[in-house]
Amino acid sequence: MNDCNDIEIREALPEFIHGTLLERERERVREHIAECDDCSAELAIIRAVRLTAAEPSVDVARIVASVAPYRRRTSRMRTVYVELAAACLIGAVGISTFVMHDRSTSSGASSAAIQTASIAPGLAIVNTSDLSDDGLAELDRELDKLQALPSADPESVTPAALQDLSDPAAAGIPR
Amino acid sequence: MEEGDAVTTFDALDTMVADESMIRVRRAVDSLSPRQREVFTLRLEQGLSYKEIAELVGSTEGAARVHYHNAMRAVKEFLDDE
Repeated sequence: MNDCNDIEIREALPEFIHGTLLERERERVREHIAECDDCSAELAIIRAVRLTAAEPSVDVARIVASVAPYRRRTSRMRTVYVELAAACLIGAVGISTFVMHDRSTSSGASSAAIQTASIAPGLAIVNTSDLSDDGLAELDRELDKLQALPSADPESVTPAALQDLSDPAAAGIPR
Repeated sequence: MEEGDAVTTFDALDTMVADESMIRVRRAVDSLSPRQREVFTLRLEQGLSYKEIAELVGSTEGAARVHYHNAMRAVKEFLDDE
């Protein structure tokens, strides 16, 4: 691509594109371009520069060049995934086993506490094996005191109360 | 192949070639020095005169003219070399 020797025409090319030339100058440029390949090429460059400025350019080749090449997952990657899944499974089984064992242990302790509470209410969960002879004697005395307390008998049921229960509305029971 | 298909194929190819040319021109402009690119784009995109460009960039009218013609020569060489 060479430069045309007609500097006046070359200087007028941007104005020709922008349409700011007088009609007489415009016609002169048009006639010159029709015969001059260099000015025709330069005019094409000017037009392209204007168009690229008007529209955002997308350089596909540069984008494609910057994208990392696609790689298939190797069998090694699949092996790693299988190993991870197996490790997760083993861990889940271990945790569930531990939780079940912990629950059974605590339920055994709870039943022992219930037994103790039923024997000596108010002195529940007392490990008697840790008590000395004096402690045991004290505990025995406490038990005697508890046994000496009057037991709470249920209220005697009168026929009138039974009559009230037979009528749900009177007893305040929702239907 | 139908007649319409031929026209469509030509249009698509024509558009692709035009797009490629635009990308090449953009690359050529991007390869200019900052001052050349500034003067070049002000002259071609904004349609400013050398005098207006000189006032904008803080230079002289003659310097703006030289920058413009050097830029145009560099763009042509860039496009010839590709």
